[in-house]
Amino acid sequence: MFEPRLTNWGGYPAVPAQVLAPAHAEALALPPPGTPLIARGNGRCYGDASLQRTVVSTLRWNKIFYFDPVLGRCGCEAGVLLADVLAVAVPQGWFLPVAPGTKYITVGGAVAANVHGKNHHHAGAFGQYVDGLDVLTEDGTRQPCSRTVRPDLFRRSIGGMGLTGIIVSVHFRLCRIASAYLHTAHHPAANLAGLLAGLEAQRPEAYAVAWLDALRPGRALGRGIVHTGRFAPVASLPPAGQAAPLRPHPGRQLSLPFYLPRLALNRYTMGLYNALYYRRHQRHSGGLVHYDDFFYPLDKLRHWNRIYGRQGFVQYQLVLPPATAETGLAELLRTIHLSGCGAYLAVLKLLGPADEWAAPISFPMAGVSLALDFHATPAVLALLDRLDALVLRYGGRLYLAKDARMSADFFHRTYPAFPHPAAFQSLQSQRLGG
Amino acid sequence: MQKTCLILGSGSDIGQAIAYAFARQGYGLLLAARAPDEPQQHLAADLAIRHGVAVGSLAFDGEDYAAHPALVQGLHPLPDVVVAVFGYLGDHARATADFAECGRILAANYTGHVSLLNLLAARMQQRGHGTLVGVSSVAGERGRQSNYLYGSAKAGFTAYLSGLRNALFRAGVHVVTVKPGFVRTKMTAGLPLPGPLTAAPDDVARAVWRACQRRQNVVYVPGIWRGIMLAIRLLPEFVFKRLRL
Ligand SMILES: Cc1cc2nc3c(=O)[nH]c(=O)nc-3n(C[C@H](O)[C@H](O)[C@H](O)COP(=O)(O)OP(=O)(O)OC[C@H]3O[C@@H](n4cnc5c(N)ncnc54)[C@H](O)[C@@H]3O)c2cc1C
Ligand SMILES: NC(=O)c1ccc[n+]([C@@H]2O[C@H](COP(=O)([O-])OP(=O)(O)OC[C@H]3O[C@@H](n4cnc5c(N)ncnc54)[C@H](OP(=O)(O)O)[C@@H]3O)[C@@H](O)[C@H]2O)c1
Repeated sequence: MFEPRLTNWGGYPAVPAQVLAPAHAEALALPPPGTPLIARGNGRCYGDASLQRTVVSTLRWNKIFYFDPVLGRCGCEAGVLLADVLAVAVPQGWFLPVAPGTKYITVGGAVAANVHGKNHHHAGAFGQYVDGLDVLTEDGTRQPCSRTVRPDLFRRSIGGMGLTGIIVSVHFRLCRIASAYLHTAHHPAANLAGLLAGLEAQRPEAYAVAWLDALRPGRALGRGIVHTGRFAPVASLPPAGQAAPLRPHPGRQLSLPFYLPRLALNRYTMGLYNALYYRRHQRHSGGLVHYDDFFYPLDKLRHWNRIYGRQGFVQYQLVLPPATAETGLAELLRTIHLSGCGAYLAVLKLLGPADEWAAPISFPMAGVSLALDFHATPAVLALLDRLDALVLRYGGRLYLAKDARMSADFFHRTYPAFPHPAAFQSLQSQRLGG
Repeated sequence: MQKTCLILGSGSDIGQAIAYAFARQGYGLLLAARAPDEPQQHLAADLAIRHGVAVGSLAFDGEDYAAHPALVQGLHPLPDVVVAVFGYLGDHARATADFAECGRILAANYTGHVSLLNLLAARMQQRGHGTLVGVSSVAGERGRQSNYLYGSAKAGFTAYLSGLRNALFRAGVHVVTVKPGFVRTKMTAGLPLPGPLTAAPDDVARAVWRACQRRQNVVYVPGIWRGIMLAIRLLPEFVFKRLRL
């Protein structure tokens, strides 16, 4: 039988896979024991965390079955997209408590990766707003769990990367908004120290993130812009906004219909882009923007990952503790620069303490996170091994949802062990040694 | 007042897509399925939450003819639109030898619809307006060796809908016959489907909505099937009987 190749957002790796897509959890015909399975949401992790020979797609589990507009509570099947939750919640004055950089992920994926947003330092990650889960476990039964019922299964499923079972449904809380718009500001910084100080200074803002130019050497190393935002009260909106303050995001997207040749994106075009980006934000100081532009600028272009070409790309996201962040990040950026491998789209975020209710392999911990995109080339893969050594030395770790290549040894030195049922394994968990 | 649409067979993939198409237009929905199980409850809640429309549910079985009169009399108010979309492909080989299976195919695709639509048509005729939509199939256009039990039931349904349209025309009640070709649903899961000739449930739903708006009589989805079936109907029987279809 023809088996199409399956790949996640980075396009690397691409593997032959059988996709089971049952209409609902009860209709899932479990394959014979000994066939490892992994849940797959919308494939927005970058690497192999939701890849396996046999995957269970949750995309047909797309019903919101409970929404309380007074208390801001939502219950839905695990394959509902955050975009769909927003379409229902925003007009009624509610928003996601944690918004990652794309709204096209499933609620199940948000729980399984315990995703973080631009507010982790205040709000923690997505799992903290989850009140209950139904998980299909290895014996084929559906187990409700929460902070009081089977709390161990509950905790381990948040940030557990699908290794505890298949999340079937999720009950979670939303946060109040008065309008769908944010007051935003840009704060340019000429180098890394300035950028980190800027992020730190903006800590009181609800949302903060920094973009940095990873292609600048020397004195301008780490120059960038801190972006901040907070939801706007209705009274502060212009008349047009006041008339419809809770307008949700538009349903339409532009699409990049084909892969660009690799030449289209290289360190020179990207260097030029970075310089223009820096200068534009140096001059404009922010303003009122819709949440779709503030949180999800990349969602405007469907399949934007195709600008990296058919060979695919890898994202490398790390966190370093506060004490070593500045020295560590500087050394990482210098190492990247010396390697000659271009890193695109570099983003810094502040992270608060590790979430209380999360698996030991959940990513966030107190410090500063840096995410970088690279073409998936042999030279880059060799560079990333060198960066791993630095991350280890500076006491940091990598985000599994972005990873496609770290070694088992490195993983075990940076995360505690996470024993889990053999029935659920991704290519990633197998690569990382169970 | 909010208009309403009754979906007979809301567990069907095509039926669900039709329910969303009407909900998007502000119609209240009445979902009728064999089992009011969790997926049906979630469907009802999701339609109401996403589209802010009233949604009700009821249980029915196309084969349980004795229960149909009470079911139809119990509809208050009578829906503006009724979509009869339940159906059963069945196991053709088994059905040729086992009349129980054959009977299920005939009931789910023909007699069950006749039983329900007779009752609904009478009420609509009395009221003087409304739309009845029957989802038949291109399989009903000419019997083929691989599925003529299903096909003949659909042929009966198609002829029934044509007569019903004629009978209700003067009463102001419109009847739409929908003839999908191949549609990617659980009915066809695992079958090899010819890509360009295959529709998604949403395509059928859009065609149904449009047909109701424009009072179209017979719609093929995708439209190319109208031509294909014309060619197939024109094949002389002495050629057709030799084909392996
Ligand atoms: C443009 C972009 C921006 C992003 N920004 C952020 C960000 O700001 N912060 C952040 O934290 N992440 C971010 N991500 C990563 C993304 O949010 C996570 O990888 C998320 O888990 C993807 O969800 P998904 O539904 O696509 O699931 P997949 O990518 O298919 O799966 C991700 C993981 O979740 C598991 N999983 C999915 N569904 C279930 C389920 N029902 N039950 C059990 N396990 C399940 C999978 O097994 C896998 O381990 C970004 C990704 C992109 C493409
Ligand atoms: N898919 C195609 O390629 C295709 C092509 C042409 C025409 N059609 C027609 O389109 C319609 C919808 O099909 P689909 O593809 O959406 O199929 P589907 O998803 O398999 O749905 C069929 C539904 O009919 C219900 N049903 C079967 N027998 C019933 C009975 N006796 N009483 C009540 N409900 C009954 C089933 O209920 P349960 O859930 O309880 O089993 C099921 O929900 C059918 O009439 C089909 O013949 C389909």
